[in-house]
Amino acid sequence: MRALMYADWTVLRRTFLRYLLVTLFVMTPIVAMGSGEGEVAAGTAVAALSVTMMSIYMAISLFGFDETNGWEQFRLTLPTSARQVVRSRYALAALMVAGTVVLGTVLGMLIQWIIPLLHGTVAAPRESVIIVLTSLGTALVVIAFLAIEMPIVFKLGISKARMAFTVPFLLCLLINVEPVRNAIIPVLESLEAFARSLGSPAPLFAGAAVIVALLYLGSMRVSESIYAARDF
Amino acid sequence: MSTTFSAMPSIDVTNDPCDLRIKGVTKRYEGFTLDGVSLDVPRGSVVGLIGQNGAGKTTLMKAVLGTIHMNGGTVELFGRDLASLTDAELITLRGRVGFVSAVTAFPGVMTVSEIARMYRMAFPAFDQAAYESLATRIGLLPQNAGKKVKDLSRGMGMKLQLVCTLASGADLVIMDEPTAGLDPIVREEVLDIVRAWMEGEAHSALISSHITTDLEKLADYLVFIDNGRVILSCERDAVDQMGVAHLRTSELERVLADAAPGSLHVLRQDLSWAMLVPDRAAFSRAYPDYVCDRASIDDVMVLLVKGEVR
Repeated sequence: MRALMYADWTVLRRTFLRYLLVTLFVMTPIVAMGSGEGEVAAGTAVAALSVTMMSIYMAISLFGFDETNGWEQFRLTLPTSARQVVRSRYALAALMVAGTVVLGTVLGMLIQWIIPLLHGTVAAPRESVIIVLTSLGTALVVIAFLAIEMPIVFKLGISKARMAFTVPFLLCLLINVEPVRNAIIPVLESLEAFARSLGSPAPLFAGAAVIVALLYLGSMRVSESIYAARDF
Repeated sequence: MSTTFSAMPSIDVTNDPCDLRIKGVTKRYEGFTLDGVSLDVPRGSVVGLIGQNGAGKTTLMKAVLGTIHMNGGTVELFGRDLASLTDAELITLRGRVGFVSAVTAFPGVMTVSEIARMYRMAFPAFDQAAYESLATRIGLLPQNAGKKVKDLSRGMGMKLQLVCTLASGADLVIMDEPTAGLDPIVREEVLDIVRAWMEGEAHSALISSHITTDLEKLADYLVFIDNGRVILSCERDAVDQMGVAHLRTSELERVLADAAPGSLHVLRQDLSWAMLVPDRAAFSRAYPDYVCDRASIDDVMVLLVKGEVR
């Protein structure tokens, strides 16, 4: 399993900078727009969110490399098993998310520190909490997303499964449809009310983290069965 | 008369220690079936797997390597049935089996040194000194150490695979068309590396190829496979005994009358018939006036695959 993780890590290292540059390029105008005087939080939150989201693209990229040169078949001829292939990929995906959370948070903090300087003010301490919560919240969404998508990729391979990656994004667009919005808003409002009744978002985060962790582990089990049954 | 020249050779290594035993392996795909294939790789020997494209060589190798699920049959590695192994046992056993693919199947962005490092992590018995010495000898190191796999030539990619596999500490190496697409010089280098490795300890190899001259130089045993079935298994030397008789129709009829029905493979040529003779010397004694040339592996394959059984 160590060899597989090393191979994946090496591939990631080579592609990481490219993804970081693309992310910074896309996020910079959004951060700039959301970082007027007194509006720093929105910009920094976007930075934290964008960098954390990067782990999705990196995961897709890794699965893409599996299908080049027949590596997906070849690695199973090494002293390993289908189960180890799946476990190493899930472990690395989790590490990627953790890494991007740290990176996103640090970047958000830096922006939060720099932008008020440009305006000649000082950042409010509350904004640091927003950045951390945004990174962690995004990480939970990303892990849940990967938990749903990875079994599909292990079943079909990334070429056939890439459409599946767009489905959750398309579903998010449904929020613009009025009946959907009308249905979702009360749910969000009750969640918010529940969070306020707790007095702190921490219990809500902890609960969500446990649910997402269980979902991720369950997803790994499903992927193991799927992958072990595949022919290459 | 019939058994003196027309009996096809076969091999029986049932009582010999074998690193690989394949018994009745069947795999069904739509439009193709690998049908009850059996073969053995005795310890310390090279078995050449010969067949045209699509004959089932790669499917058989995949079954041995466990990358496909069989519909029937068993594969025993070092005396252990693969189907009965736990994950941990399978991984340990795979540490003794190396695989060389027809293409360089590593991620293109990894460098030569990184591939070697990955092998070192994967194979507990990987011999770093052997890797460095072999890789230096064939020009892979030091100049290509930092080169990415995608930038290597086909020959260099194959050498990298071969060097890593042979240094991995594997006792059995499975090679799928290792010399396909290589120029004659690199091909000879690759064969030299394999030959040197075989001379060392009790190493075994299963090599598929349709470049039969390579197998003439390497193999101790040959297994001919066609349309998913083994059509002949024999010792390499048995092919040296074989011949191709070039006969007119009347001569063919005479020979067929003497032979057991269904024992000979004949192929219609322009004005004559080519007939595969399992024992050239016996045939020449029986028919001193008929022309019988020595058969190459190619001749044997063509006559077995394209000839009609008479």
